Amino acid sequence: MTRRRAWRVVAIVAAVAAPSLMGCGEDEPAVEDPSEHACEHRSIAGAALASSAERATAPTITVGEETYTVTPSATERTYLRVVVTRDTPALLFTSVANVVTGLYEGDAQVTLPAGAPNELCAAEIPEHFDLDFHEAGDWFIELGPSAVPSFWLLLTEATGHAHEALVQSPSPPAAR
Amino acid sequence: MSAGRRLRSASIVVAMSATGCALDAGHGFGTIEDATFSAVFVAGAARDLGDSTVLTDLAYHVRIEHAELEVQSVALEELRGAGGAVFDPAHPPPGYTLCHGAAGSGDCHHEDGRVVSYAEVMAELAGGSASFAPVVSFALDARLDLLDGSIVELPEPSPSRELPRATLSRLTVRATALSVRGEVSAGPEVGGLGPRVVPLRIDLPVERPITMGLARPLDRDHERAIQLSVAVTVDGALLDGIELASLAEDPSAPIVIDDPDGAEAERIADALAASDVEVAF
Repeated sequence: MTRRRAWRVVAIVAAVAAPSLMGCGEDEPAVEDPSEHACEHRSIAGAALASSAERATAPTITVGEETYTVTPSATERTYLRVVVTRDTPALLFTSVANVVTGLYEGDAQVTLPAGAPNELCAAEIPEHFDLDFHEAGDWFIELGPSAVPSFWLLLTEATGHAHEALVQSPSPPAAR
Repeated sequence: MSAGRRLRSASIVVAMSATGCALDAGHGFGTIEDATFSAVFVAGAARDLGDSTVLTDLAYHVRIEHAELEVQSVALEELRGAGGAVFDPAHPPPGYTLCHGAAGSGDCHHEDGRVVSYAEVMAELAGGSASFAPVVSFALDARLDLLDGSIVELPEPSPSRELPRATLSRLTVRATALSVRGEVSAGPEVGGLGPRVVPLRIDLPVERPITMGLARPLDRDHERAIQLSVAVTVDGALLDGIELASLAEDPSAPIVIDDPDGAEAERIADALAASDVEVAF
């Protein structure tokens, strides 16, 4: 083998090995979009619980992976409790729209953001809310009186939900 | 033809081709071939008690016998004067919380609870220099039965079916009046109507448009032919937040909501402006 050919072989080996040496082959696991996760778990009924007319006795739901089948009231507002331990952006998904009607931080009612369908499975999850549990403590999700006997619910962390690319207003069109 | 003249002719053809002017004379970057519109009231599973009766968030039962929306116009708009405003949805601008959705057609949540399209966020960031301007509009001027929800053909577009190069950033539906007839019963256990059934009459002007963010380029890279379909759905939250019993103190009179400056009108305007809109091109 000539010296030139030897260096060529070394270069090729180095080029092949470099990604492994730099750890480029070990991609960080992608964070699943919670919306996609919710669609995948829509068929899981989860824990059954009945919402309470009083915040003091409201059952607790967790911010996480657990799904719930919630029984609301047909005649009055009821509540679910969320125990927050740190600043937590979260997403609340429901199988019916217009069942979540309010949000409380302790005893103080706060603005409930506008709901919107889960874009990835709008028919199955016609409403979701982007919630910002910005303080630790007990938060309450208010449910309105409902014409459905029960509905599916998932409250999960919002990690992976935000869009990543910059958004820019379009440039004016070229002169015609 | 001399060589010089041949060269000049070839240059002109190349230049005109590059600007997209020569090959498709008479057509714009988009052509409205067909356009339809519909508006319908759908209570939704959580609010539908059957027999045309809607459950409100205060437990009133509202039987809707008639609901009509007067629609003035439908417009497809572009955002002008934003000057290339940029924002990072991962780090929303002040006043906004979470942003999400596909690039260009997503939305952000404002601290006041509003959901604002990316285009409207950019317009707000650009301040007074940016505004939405119609690329094409349809003067519908029709009363639509919300309980029927029929699809109607939109009239001839203005200024033209042939659309210029632009990016359609917003759809705006301008309605002028809402009319509802029905009857109300039930409500909260304390302070509701109890066994009474009270006629309901709503006649309100509509001043806030129904809008939806878009991100539809009109250029050579996208389908030129457009079959526009706009569908508005008003849902069962239309009468939420209204203490109907407080408007029925006279047992011999119907509940009338016709004061455009009243709190009830504000609630209904909010609900109407939040109607779901589906647009197809």
